[in-house]
Amino acid sequence: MTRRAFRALTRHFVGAIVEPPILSDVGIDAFRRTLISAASFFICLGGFLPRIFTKKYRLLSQMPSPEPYLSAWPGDTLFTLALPMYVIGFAAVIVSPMLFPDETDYRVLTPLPLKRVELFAAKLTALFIVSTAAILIVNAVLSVTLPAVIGGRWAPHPGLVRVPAHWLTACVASAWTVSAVMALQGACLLVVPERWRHRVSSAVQASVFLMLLVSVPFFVRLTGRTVNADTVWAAPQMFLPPIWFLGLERWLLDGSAAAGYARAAAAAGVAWAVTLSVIGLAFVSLFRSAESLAGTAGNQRVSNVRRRVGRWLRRRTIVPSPQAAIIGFALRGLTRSRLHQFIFTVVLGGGLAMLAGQIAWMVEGRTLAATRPEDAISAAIAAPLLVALSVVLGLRAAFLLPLDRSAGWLFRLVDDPRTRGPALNGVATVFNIAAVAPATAIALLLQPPLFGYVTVVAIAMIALASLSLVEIVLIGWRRIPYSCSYLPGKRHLTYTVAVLLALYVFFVGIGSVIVRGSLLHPARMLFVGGLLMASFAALRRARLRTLGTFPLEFEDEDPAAVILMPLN
Amino acid sequence: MFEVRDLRKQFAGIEVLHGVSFRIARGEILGYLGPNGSGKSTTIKIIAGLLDPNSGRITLDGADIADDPPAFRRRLGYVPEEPNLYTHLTAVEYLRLVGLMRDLPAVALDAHITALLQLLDLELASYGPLSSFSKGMRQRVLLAAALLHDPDLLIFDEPFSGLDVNASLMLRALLQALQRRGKMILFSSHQMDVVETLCRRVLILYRGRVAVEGSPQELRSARVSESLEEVFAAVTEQEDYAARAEAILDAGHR
Repeated sequence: MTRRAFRALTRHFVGAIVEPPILSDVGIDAFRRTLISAASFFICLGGFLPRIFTKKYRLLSQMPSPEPYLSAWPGDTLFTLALPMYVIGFAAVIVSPMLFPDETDYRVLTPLPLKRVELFAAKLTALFIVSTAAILIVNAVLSVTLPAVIGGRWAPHPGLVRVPAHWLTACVASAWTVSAVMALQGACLLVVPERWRHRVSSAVQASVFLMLLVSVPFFVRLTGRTVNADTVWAAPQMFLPPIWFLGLERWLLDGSAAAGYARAAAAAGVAWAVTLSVIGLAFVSLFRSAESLAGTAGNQRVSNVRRRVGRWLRRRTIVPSPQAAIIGFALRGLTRSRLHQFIFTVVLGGGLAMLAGQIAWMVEGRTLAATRPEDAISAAIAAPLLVALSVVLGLRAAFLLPLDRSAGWLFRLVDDPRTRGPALNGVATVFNIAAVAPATAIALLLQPPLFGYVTVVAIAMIALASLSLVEIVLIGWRRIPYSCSYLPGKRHLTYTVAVLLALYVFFVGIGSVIVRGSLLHPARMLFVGGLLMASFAALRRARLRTLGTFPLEFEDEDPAAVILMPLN
Repeated sequence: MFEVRDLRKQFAGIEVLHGVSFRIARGEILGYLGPNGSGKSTTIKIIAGLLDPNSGRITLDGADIADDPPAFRRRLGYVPEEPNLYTHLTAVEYLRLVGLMRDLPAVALDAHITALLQLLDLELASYGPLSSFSKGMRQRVLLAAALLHDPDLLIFDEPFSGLDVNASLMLRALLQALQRRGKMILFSSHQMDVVETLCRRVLILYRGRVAVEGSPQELRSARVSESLEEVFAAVTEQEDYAARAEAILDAGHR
């Protein structure tokens, strides 16, 4: 293989990582714009974030004793190390299905005159290029400006030593994050039997993302506390990777004098060794059994039991209609498509992270039992609303994304005003069940000890609020899930964030205050219950009035696109 | 009677269909031929409602399909050229989705799906995901989906691609059976021998225009050719294949 061919193959792999194949040409353009915006955002963040620390460290420098400075410094350094790790971690989890050669690579590239080792080398090179670029972009400014301002007259090391040490550690920590995500996917390849691999790998991807999101608020709390040489190597923070790399930085700066930090630094070394070993083993294993990537016909063998169960279930379908067809289609997409599962998990994870943040704030400095009753009541009402909101937004995001653009012709062909309404009602049914069921489950878990029998009323109100939310989300909805093209980032990020924030404030913030207030008096209960019922009925009637009137939507509309007027 | 009159289509200002017209009577298979890029698939996609024409009229039994596209699509069965399916579904799930979206009665639908899958030799694979199906198997699933609602007009765009010998023979017989039942069939294919056997009338499209139209016998005698293949080559200006083959082989080595 010539160098030129190797470069072409590497470019192909880089493209596969940064250009998702499910998007249309216009969608890929929009995705590129989003990537550039994200890169610019992190570069700008490096200039903006240090302003928060500047004032704090100016004050600490003016203190007569170095103690306040020395107790604040490790915590803030931990934060500045963890931030790029999180960002890179999220990005690595998103692209984790592309980290190892897959079936398409094998099928398309094996017939070409290139050695298997070249294929694997090109894949690794592409990974190296993409991850290095991402690490450098995220750390370019952020990991220079932050340690620069965390200085002052009490800083034990001069800036010229501290900043390079921090930058180096931040890059090493970010690189380790990529390798950890790769190692998890590699472990799936090594341990999980082939027929389960795809599902387990999807589940791992979604779980890791969820875990990362939910851990954010807890981590922010942790970095606020005092981290020092005595406490750094104590449970539970000793299990957190950023702590290991904080140890590494201190070890780089102080050598053997770093005491407790040296142990954390050793943990960073062990972590690197473990991840690299798993990745190496996974690549070797994949290299040796590359034929397994080609897929097997075994997928087609279905046991008699499964066939009989399938028939039995089909005969007992309660609503055999376009509505049932779309419910089934939507749920199958969500349970079988890795990407859609992941998108749903990401949004749901965002909601759960906020919930975790609330809990962390509520119990901070106390035991769960000693939590203040008013905080517990607020959380018990807000939690189900937050879950309903994140499930609805997660479903919406997943349904918007196409599953297979080329297969979408089917819905164009069978689009019929007679079945359009029931089909769109199928989408609404999925939303309704998904919004109400988890919210009710969370409410049943949290509210009975606090509200007693009034829980029934609270749940009814939460259910009505959730149903109203679904009706709001479905205003103007004319899509069969996964069948419409998608333009990522078609609206300005500020607009999207503002809408999400408004939804959160209105639905969770104001909603929980209203529900809580109504539970205090029967008359208020009736009033608020009636109001929620009326708003739900009005929204639903408005949706049903035009349901199925307009054709289904198959092409996503760019709000900024030039409208061509058919004047000729 | 199905009729296409003066159909025109432009892509980015380039006209790809220049007023195509044809008719298909009940119980007739019209062979719709043409080299790659001649506009066959564009015509078919316009009829199936996947593309909008710039001008022209399409009627089924005298009614303009633009007046009530869903009513037309209820009477249309379509087997596309590429077997694009939702591959996360099984064959049964896919056909059930198609059937229910066409509002077919559920009990009859299940029986129909089972029978079709059995007859198309897909019964054993019917609970496996379509992602594990070969091209021929996917083609058979599309065939079943097109026949589910007993349409009056059927469009087959390269239906033989990927099919094995047995499946091809079965499809030929199926097309003849559909013809006997009075269905109107638009049949696009590159397999001239099959077209010659099945089609009473043939239309050859070239550069977006109807180049010739008539029965295979008429076309052969008009062009003094022995086969439809020769007629096709003559109409589409592809005569000296041997010289072209040599040129292809030499092209990369000059």
